[in-house]
Amino acid sequence: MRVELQQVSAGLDPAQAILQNFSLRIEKGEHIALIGPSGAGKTTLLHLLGLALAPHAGQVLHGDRDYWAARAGVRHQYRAQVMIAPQTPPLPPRQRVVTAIQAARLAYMGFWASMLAWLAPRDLVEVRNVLAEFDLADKLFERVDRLSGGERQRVGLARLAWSLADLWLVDEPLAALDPVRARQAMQVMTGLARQREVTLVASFHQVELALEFFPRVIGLREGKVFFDAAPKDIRQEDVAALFENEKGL
Amino acid sequence: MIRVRSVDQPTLRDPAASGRVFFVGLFVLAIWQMARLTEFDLLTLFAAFTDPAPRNFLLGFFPPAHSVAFLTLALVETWRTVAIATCGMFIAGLIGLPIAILLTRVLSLSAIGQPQFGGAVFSGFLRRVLRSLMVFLRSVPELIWALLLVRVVGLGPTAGVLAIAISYSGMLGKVYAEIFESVDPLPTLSLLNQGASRLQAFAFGLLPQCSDELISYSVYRWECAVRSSVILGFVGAGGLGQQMDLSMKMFAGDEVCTLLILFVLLVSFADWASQALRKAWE
Repeated sequence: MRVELQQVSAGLDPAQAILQNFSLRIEKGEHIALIGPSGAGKTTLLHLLGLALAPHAGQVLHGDRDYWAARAGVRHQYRAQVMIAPQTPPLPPRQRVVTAIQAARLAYMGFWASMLAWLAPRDLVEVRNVLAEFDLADKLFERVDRLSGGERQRVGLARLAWSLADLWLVDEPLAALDPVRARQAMQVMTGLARQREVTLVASFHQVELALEFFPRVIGLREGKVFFDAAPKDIRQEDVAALFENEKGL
Repeated sequence: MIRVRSVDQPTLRDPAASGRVFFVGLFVLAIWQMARLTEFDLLTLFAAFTDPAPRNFLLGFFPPAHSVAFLTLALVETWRTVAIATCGMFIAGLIGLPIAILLTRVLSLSAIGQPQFGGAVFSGFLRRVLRSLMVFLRSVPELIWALLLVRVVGLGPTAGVLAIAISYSGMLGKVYAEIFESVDPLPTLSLLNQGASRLQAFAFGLLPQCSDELISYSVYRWECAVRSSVILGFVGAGGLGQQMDLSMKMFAGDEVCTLLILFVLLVSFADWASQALRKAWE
């Protein structure tokens, strides 16, 4: 599904919206990396695309539909198509990995089916296979709070892979991973997204990996698009300028 | 050696003394006035032993009643007290838990993505109504509810069960809601953002974070309910209390003594069971 932002203003505080008059068009199946300094509006943009944040002005279109203008029930039903993976994986500490992963498909289960899954998890083999993609097959029945930070982040990615959404919005998925794990996780995530023809928008601090794996990279700075290009057209100076401290400190 | 230079004052006065004297005096005066008001007189306690009726009652405590018939009756009533508390708690949970879920702002669908509104006007209004309902339910003590209910549903354990159910549902609802509000909202919000329903987000995002606190508090409340259902018996709501009331009215000291022993055993059992349950869960 195509996603389009038309002259959107958004942010937690309407008086100081971090994104102002912001426009962006994302085609179905596109893979986009967001890079830029902290506070540039990457997370706000992802929440906006995922219907987790309403714009103060402008329109957010999924397909050709503005779901903020629709009834709350219709909007909530559509959210099943979207999966936002926050930077800190939102996993309850005392939950087991298998349950945390299965929660990714709640929107596709009826109430009683999900209550049954809560008592006795289903699809154990498939869930373990998804975990195996991230080298976590042996953690299936482990409690989340017994995992390391990196393992937790990979469980978050496995949860993303288990979801049936066709728009993946991933916030800093590699932040807690070492370089080897980061590359591996990147390969699995982009590979699965391509295989399932999912639209993928992800933010990164690892600029090299973003440039290597994504055909379109958007540099964000102070809520504005600094550059929006294919990696081959992005020069070192552009990246340096993107992260340059404006006060020259 | 420190040498203190003598001051040209013949007497020294502690600046704090007058205040202390005043407040001690005030305290003694207050206690005396209150003792007068409550007609408290230790001598009446001694006078009891010269009067035949109270003396026989107190002396009758020993030996405690121990006929098989009475012991069976007393044990059945003790178990009935536990049953009143447990059923009351169960119904209180059935009422309190859904209200607590409704009161929890994290689970509000209308609030997603609109931090500036903090939820829709209607749901805000509904929450306020529910909150005041809870205040009403728990501000009337269970003893008063039992007194009222005995007149509505008649003498017996049903009144006790309902009294505990009503006043405890208010308490459970309030505390459960507070527990729900205190946990990390991120997992719950994230599930809602994926299109999960409110109850699904509750079961998969919120509950796993606070199940320990929830169970621990509920077991503690059950312990309180056991104690309070004994007292409810005195107004006719069944169980150990009602039996004790009957024995007292008949001045049967030996029966009262047995029932008191059972009461102490019951309370310490509830205390022990609640601690053991909470420890087992941790």
